[in-house]
Amino acid sequence: MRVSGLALISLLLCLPGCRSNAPLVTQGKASPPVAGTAATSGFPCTVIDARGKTLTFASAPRRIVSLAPSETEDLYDLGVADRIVADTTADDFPAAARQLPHVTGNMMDPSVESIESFNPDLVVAVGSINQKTVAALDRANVPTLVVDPKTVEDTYAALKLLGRATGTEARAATLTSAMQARIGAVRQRMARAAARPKVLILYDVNPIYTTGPGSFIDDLIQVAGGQNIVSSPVPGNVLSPERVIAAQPEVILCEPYLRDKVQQFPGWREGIAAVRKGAFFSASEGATLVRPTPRLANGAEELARFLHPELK
Amino acid sequence: MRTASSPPPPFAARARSRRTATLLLCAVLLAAVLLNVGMGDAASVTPSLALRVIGGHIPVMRSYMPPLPATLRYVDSIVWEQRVPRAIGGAMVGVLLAMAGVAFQSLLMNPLADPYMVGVSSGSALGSVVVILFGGAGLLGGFATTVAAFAAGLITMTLVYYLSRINGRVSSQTFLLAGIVVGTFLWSIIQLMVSLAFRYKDPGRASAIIDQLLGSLQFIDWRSLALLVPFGLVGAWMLGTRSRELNMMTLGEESAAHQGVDTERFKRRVILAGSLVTAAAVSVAGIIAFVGMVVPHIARRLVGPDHRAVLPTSMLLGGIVIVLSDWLSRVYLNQLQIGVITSLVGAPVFCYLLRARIVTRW
Repeated sequence: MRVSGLALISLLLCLPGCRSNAPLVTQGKASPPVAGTAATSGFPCTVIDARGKTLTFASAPRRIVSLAPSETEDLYDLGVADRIVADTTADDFPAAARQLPHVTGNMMDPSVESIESFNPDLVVAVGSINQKTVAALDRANVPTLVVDPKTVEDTYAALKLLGRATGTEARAATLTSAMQARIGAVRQRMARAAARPKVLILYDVNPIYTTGPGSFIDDLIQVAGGQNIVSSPVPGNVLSPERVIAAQPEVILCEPYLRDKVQQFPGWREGIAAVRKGAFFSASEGATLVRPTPRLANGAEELARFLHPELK
Repeated sequence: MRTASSPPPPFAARARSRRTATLLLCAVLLAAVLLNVGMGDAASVTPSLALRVIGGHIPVMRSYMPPLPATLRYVDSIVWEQRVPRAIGGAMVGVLLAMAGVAFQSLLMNPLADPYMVGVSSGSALGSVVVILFGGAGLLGGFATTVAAFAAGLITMTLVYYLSRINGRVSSQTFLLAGIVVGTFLWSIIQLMVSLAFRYKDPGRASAIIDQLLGSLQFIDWRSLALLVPFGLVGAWMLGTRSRELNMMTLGEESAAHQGVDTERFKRRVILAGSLVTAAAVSVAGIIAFVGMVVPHIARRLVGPDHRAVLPTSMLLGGIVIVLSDWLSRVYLNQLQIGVITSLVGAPVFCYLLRARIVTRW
């Protein structure tokens, strides 16, 4: 049937970045390295990834294929960009990532053949996005490191895991503690907020996709002195138009391209003051609330300034 | 029509039972609309509160309505700006699709024909996609995509019509084939555009296109009704006043010609009417499968093959099917796409009808 085929394409195509629409479950933190590999860049080294698989590297990987924008960004932050041999068409930050060779296919369904053709000694994948690809790579014996950052804590764990696997553990520790410090500072300042504005997270309008508790974006809204209108997990992360009105959000967090859609949505202008006033927030280029990378700290700071301009 | 093998009941009696059936279906449709307006997943909006809002918008009743509680100011937006236009618009979409289904099935003498088979829907979808991709979606008060969808649907139908016209005649089989080919071709262009929009990193437009293509009633507002209602009336008039000819056409084009029907002219009229109503429905609600195909069969089962009865019965049934599917989706199925529900329900119903040999007896 044409229509259902299209629905599938839509699922594949319209999920930008690393937004997770799947029901969000906090996973356990990645395990520490196995004893005997304590030295920062000591190889051979053994790591256990987010799905519990043990990977051993005889030497630091030099040919890395990254299958998710967030992990590409992490690799850049870790200073090992020169070792990335390919990423996906969705990888757009930093700008240099766009110039890298891309594996064919789109981010949700990259071609395994194409990945193998880059002859990688490490493939970095995200569990909730690349499940099928990871299974195929395992069958082909391609060393695949799976991370699965769902919360802010998971984001730190993923960064450390990548650091360990690429021999940049010290850098990963620095990045993580900087993030922790900045996010902690925001949390502390915003603790004094007199009110916590209600925030609607909007990924799409047909259907209305959002995210509930147990996600890094929900974590950061709380850090920044707001509250998500979705306080308990919603099935499929889909909201009805009238529940959005009934929740009376005070700030709408969405990509700029959705603003027109939101303002034209039947009844929303009439029923929601925030839509009428245009109280939209989207992070700037150098910040993010939708990708689990060090830029989340910038995102938290920007959102805090937006929600509480009175708290300097 | 008086030559059926079993003795037909007297005309007056048939007309009376038809009227009863029509009134009954009207009542069911009204009840379905009220059900849809009264219920929803915003728990604070109770059915009585919803009725109070509606009463407040009807001039005569306004003064008798107690004011809404001040803490629930948004109730008015939920009921009057969302639920009411969505329920009425959904009913209209169902009415239009069923009407087009009746028209195309009779015209093409093909029980499988549905409004989407003859290319109009792909054309409409492409029209809106082009506007989204090349800009201008914000023009005409945000209604440019709807208008473009409507216009492109009609252009597609004109193209299909001239493709299938040979020596001044349109054969129904050629028409169907031309419709399928053109529709499939346009559909592949849409898919190409979606994949290009994604490749060139334009998730905004990719998602806007997909919003347009997936059938949904959630974007229906009062302005949508301004498009649906007039075309509903025009289509009903164009087809309703030609029920007699539709009856003759189902017995075969030649016999209709012998009885004095200008068949080419008549076909143009039916194609135009069917396209107008399909384009209106698709441009507002996207593609909602199966209603246009299955509902006419159910109507024939209920009231027999006479188009004077089949047409109004199908229209009302179409409205009921869409409104009840939307109600299921909104209240119980977590906003599941309405096209999924109509297909889930429609396919088994169609299989049943097929087994019961009703499809072949139309």
